[in-house]
Amino acid sequence: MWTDIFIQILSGVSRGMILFVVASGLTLIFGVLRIPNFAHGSFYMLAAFVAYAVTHAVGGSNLGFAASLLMAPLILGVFGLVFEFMLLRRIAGRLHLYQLIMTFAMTLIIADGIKMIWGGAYRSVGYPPLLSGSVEIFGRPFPTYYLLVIAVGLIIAGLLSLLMERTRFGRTVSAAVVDPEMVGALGVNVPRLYTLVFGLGAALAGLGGALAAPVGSVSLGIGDSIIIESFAVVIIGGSGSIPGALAAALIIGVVQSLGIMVAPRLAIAFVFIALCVVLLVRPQGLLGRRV
Amino acid sequence: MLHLNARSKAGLYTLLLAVLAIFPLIVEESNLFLTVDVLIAALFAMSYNIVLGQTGLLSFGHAAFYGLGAYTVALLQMHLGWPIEVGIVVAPLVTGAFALAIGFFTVRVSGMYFAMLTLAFSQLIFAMVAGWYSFTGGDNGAPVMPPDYLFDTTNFYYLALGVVTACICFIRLLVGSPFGAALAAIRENPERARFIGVDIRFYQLAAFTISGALTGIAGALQAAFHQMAFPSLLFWPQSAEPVLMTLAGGIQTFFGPAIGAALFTILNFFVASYTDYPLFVFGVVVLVLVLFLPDGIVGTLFSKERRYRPGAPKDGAELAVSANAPKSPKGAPS
Repeated sequence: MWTDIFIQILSGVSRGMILFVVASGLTLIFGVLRIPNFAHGSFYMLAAFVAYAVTHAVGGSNLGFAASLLMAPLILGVFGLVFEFMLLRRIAGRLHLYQLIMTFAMTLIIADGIKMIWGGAYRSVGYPPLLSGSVEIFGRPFPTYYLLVIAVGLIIAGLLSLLMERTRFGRTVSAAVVDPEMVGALGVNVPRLYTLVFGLGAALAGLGGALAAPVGSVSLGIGDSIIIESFAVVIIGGSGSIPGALAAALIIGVVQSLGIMVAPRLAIAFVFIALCVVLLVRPQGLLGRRV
Repeated sequence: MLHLNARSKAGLYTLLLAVLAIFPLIVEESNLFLTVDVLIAALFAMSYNIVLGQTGLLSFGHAAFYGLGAYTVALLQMHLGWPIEVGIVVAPLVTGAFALAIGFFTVRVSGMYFAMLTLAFSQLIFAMVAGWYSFTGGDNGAPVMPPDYLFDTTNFYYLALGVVTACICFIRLLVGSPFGAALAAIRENPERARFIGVDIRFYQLAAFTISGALTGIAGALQAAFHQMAFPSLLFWPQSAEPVLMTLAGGIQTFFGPAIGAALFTILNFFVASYTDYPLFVFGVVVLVLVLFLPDGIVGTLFSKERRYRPGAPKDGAELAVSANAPKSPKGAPS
């Protein structure tokens, strides 16, 4: 009984880690830059298809998986840079409503774009051979791949925290969000900074998509639930806080994983209950700094 | 730009209503079918604009009220055997109650947080409706059986026209009343509105509730017309529809959302029948609208009706400005 629960929690943690990698990108875009990027889930979905294409092009081997883990973030990062530079930048300074609508339009374009390139069928990627086995934890088998996901999530959390808290780049970004005019007057190219951070956020969605591709099926619609969960992570974690996003993603992953055990049909509702409770009790989020 | 005085406006509306009244005589049935969809979408968008355009609240969860309105009609018939006419009357009460409950929690936060919280609540309701198979039929939807006379498209058209016209007249009275003026004051400057003694949360909650109730009527008509209530009516992309329609027509205009609704419904109909990639076409249309027609069609034509310039959001304005928004995100006011 208790081992079952432990294994369930552990798989919840790995689920939560994929969510964290995706949502950490949204934390930069929505939490830091304050651009309500509705296309973030679509970035993730597109990345999963890119991972599928790359893996198959290379031949489904360990190398193919490694290549997909590299190419998906790269391609999505460039996609994000171009999207911000060509479109979002043009409506900067207008109401956020317009950014919301523009990114929503991008979700529609990506959905049909994927259909044009790959068709509407379900695809599967499969675990890389090296990680396709399972390890024994308390006498129960646990997929090795999930351990890799957990490791990657922790590495990303560490690197991003360092980037935002300890580097000049991170501090310039934080300052530029609070007072863009002042930072601009100090000689920083603020629009370029925004483009770079947006690209980084999109690349993280790309990494999340590539990580998730071997776990479930790759299909149209996988972006729909993760976008809602990602927004929930950013809000529960506290806007702009990477550790907050990590905590929130793990909470959501574990709550869902345990929820499936208790009440399968209502598992999805637990996320929203958590979100509503946090927003009412602590509107700035778990680790949000500003009140 | 065009500018109409009150008298020519009244004339225009009378003419419009007269044309709509004889519409079944001049168009063929398939187009009349589409017109009913336009009427329903117009009511949805205009109800929605009570919160977005009039009060300055960006709700991203109105699909919940639309879907709940539809399910009210379906479930009352399925479980209690009540006719759909009763369902259409009860629907706004049910959705209004839900809007009151959701609004009670959501109006505490502002800007993008309000949008995300309304989205979360609507997804919660979606999850419940889609998951509760024994009560709602889950993914299979809930069937609606209209009475014989409403199977006729012309008859349904007149029912929809009557209901929608009545609701629009109600919205017009609301907007023109002191209550509507208080909502506009909150939109323009919440700080000042509070200062002159307007209870902001109360008014926002009232606007949200009324908007939710009217949206429920649109949903009820939709279910009655298409003889089915589906969970997808509550799914979040549906929440984007009234936002897009309102934006396309013009947020700061009264009839703009209806024009936007007509545009989108008709576009949807033709795009879906002529291309395999309707979403792509839609996405591009929306991008073009946002880039080149930010005030919407009606808003651009009648530029005098515009009440503020979207290029320069005011500091206190709550309209879609996040709680801690920078004065201008990129230091480059457009």
